[in-house]
Amino acid sequence: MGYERQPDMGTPDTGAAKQVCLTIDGRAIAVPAGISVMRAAALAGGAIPRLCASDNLAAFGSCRLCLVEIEGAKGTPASCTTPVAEGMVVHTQTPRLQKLRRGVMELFISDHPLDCLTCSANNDCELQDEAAAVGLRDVRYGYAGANHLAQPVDATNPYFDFDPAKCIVCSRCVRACDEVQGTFALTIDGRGFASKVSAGQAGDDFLSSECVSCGACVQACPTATLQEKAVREIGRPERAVVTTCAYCGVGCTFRAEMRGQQLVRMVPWKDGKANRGHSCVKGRFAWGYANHKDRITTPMIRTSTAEPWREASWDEALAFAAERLKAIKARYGAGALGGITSSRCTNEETFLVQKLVRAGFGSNNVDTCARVCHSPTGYGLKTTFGTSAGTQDFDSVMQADVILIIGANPTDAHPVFASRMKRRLRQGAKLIVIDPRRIDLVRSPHVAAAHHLALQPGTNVAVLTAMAHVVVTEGLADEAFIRARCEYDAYQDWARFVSDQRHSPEALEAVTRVPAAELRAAARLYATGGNGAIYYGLGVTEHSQGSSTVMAIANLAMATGNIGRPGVGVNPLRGQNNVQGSCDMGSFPHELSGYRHISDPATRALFEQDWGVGLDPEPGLRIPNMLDAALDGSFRAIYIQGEDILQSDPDTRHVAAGLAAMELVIVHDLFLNETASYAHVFLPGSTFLEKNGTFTNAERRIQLVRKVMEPANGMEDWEVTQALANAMGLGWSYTHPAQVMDEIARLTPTFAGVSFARLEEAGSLQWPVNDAHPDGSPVMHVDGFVRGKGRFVVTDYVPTDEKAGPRFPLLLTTGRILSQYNVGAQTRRTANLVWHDEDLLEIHPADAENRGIKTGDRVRLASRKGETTLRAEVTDRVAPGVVYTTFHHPETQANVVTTEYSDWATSCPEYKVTAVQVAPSNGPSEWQEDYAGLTARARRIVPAEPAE
Amino acid sequence: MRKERLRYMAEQIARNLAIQGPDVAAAATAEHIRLYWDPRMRAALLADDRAALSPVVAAAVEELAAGNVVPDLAGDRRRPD
Repeated sequence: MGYERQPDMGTPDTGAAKQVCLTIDGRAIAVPAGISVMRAAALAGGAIPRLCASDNLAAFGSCRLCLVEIEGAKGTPASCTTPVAEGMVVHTQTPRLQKLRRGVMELFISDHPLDCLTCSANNDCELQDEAAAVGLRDVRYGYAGANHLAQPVDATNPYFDFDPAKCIVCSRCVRACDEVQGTFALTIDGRGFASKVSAGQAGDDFLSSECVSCGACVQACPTATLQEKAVREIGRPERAVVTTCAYCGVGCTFRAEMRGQQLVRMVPWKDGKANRGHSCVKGRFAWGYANHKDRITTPMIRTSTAEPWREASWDEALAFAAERLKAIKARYGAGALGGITSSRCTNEETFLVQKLVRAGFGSNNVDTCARVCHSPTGYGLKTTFGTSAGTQDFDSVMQADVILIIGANPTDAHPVFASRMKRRLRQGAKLIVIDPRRIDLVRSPHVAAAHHLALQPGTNVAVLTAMAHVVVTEGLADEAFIRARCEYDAYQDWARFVSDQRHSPEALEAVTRVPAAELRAAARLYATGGNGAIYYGLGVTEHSQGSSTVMAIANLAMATGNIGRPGVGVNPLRGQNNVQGSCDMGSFPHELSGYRHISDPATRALFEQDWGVGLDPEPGLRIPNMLDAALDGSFRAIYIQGEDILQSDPDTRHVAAGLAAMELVIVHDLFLNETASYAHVFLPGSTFLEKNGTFTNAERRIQLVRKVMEPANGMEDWEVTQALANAMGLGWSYTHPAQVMDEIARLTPTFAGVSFARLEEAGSLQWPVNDAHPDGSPVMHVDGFVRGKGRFVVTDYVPTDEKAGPRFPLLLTTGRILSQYNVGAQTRRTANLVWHDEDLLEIHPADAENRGIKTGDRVRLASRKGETTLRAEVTDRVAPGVVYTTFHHPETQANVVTTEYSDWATSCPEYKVTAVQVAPSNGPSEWQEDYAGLTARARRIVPAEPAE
Repeated sequence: MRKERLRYMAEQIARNLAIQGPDVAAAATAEHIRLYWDPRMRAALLADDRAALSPVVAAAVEELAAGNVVPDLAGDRRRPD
């Protein structure tokens, strides 16, 4: 598409089914009841001048530009705040209105710089447009009076400027911060002429304020007051392409607004069904990594990791990799080869990597980063409900009455969805938070949790069993739902189990550290408070009982009838943009796409026929098992697309030893990541801006990723995988990812109705998309569970083997922060560093006091596995006995201290519980020193000889 | 494969299924290992000293060794609609 501003109807839709008929400027029109006259006029094809109105904000009635005349009504009401009425006759253009609007506009312009030709918003400015629309020709008041033109620009935010001289005090930015983002960082300070937009307290600037840099204010601004620095530097965009964000599992859609091949800005797409026009600091602004100087765009090879990298042509690098893969297979068998798919890459790319491993390498040794995040979701929800997916769409939260968040921190990890959630909470929904840490949602502006169960890390199952105990023993279970929809015998077994007195909140309080009365109250609220919706994250899955906890959550939802309709459900919040998709695509070693076991002959036959090759019926190795097998010599080569297991996976020393033991490590990535220090082949990757394909977000929504610029490395990632396959002689001939999706659709029942053409037409589709659900499935398990009847599973609390003790008395739990993303490969290469340039260790004041630690001190964090050093932040956000850090920075290597303990069913690592000791330190750990030397050596590059 | 690690993994599975009683837990442990473990991992576990295993895991290993474990995959073939 060319460049034009996104349509704005002025005020929100009411969604009312009832229609109201009225006449606007002589044209009769039927519109939804309750909408504003302004919106009705827009629906009728007209445009009433306005400055303070926007259709993602409640009407405000401030600018007085949108006045209209209504027959039979006195005066000239503001069209934004006047609802339509049956039979109403409206005039939007009359000499009287023209005079009024011109007078209002004169006042605005009298205190606005007349620098349009040099203004960065020239030709993309609502004030400019409306001045033209009302026919402003002069300003009778002159420009010499008191004004705000000399106010200084606040340029502290790395991505946008605030120029108060250009501000018309329409309050759109303040209202966007309040209503859309829910942070309430901005306000109008002062009264009358002194009114001005202020970020936080007097003396605060945008950077030091509570602003989370989501960009909602920038998007709302009708002038150049709040504008992206990139627009000022590059110029007005000239075209826009709608694509899907490559950060978290919310799956926001954006307009990539371009000038030539240069990305000017990412603006959230208002029609995006996942984000509804909102964004966060990562998706909106943190895309600069795509052109970062660290980006590697030339293939590289080396025979030993002791050597420097040597730049090579694609042909040479692919031949080098293929020859070695074939040689290793010939010598050690197919089981010595494997691959890792990326949850940051597209469905099509992921599908091709697992196809390469299964059909090309000849093994099922394929795994994905979901191994270390949501593999327990796959196991738990498949066992209880029949398939591995969240049950709801994001819109569902707006019908929830009780929101239960367990082991998730949505404002940091899924910020755009968190804003929707906060909006619902401000409307009155109740909130229960189960988390050892006081996440922001426990108490933030206009949001307060009814209950915060600050449990001891590792006791999720005990807490959920105690909640189930309350539900069953107090007669709060939904017997009708259970009898109709679930296996009743299994329910009775489960009900007997949870009813046992040893599972009462009082009996388990010593284990969970959650006051029994608080837990009982939370359970009663969830069971009786109306629509109960559970949202969970890695604080559930990354435990030795991750799968049990997922099943315990499913049990609780089924027992209370909170499944199968809007407003309820079980919702895993996926960490990466395409975790759902990579799992759907058959990235696990035991199953093909659509979660069908590799040992099933009928399923396997489908693929064998389509691919023309026999498949191994045995499950392959998971990532930690691949590393183990490497150490015993039975696993020799790995192809890793878009993952950095050295930094992201637990027990770094073990990962390093496993990688070092392999004969061939192929890393396919944007940067020389930490894993690449152990690699022999580096295949440059492409960013999400440089490729076509699809991502599937946490609500099963499949959305198109569209190429907005040519790949800097010369190939999209699916082309790289195809080239590697063809170097091995596989003869693949895809010319576009749409063909890969067609293959996925014919082999995967849940995707049977998906194609690029359908996605273009529908905008997005939520699987299953098939004959029964041709337009997809916003809510699952509506009339029955995928497995037929829902299955209750008895989940006994089994304590982790990771115990705190005298040597390691504290429990470490790890997580994410808003401005950084996972291992930080992308966000660390952006200005987001201004908010988080190092991992910090949160420690409770009592624990800090005992150790003589103050905020800012460097401390040594040691476990049975290893030690690292980082700075401390003393805070009561964590409970006594618990410490917390992030894992975004390789200099810290938080996973040096995490252990190999993992979920019993899926081997998902127990990142959330590591026994540690913390002590003051005056320098880096031995590991950190050694590692700095290693990476410096491993990243040496010998440039290719220039061609003659 | 590290036999200590495999033994630990098998015992952990059994501990989490133990609430179902020893017979069911043994069968479920065996099925889990059959469904999710690479053959070389199973082989290493089967080659381990049975005396070092708990009764439930030892029984599961017996089942696996006898080739009696046939997982129910009906759910995988069910259309998700």
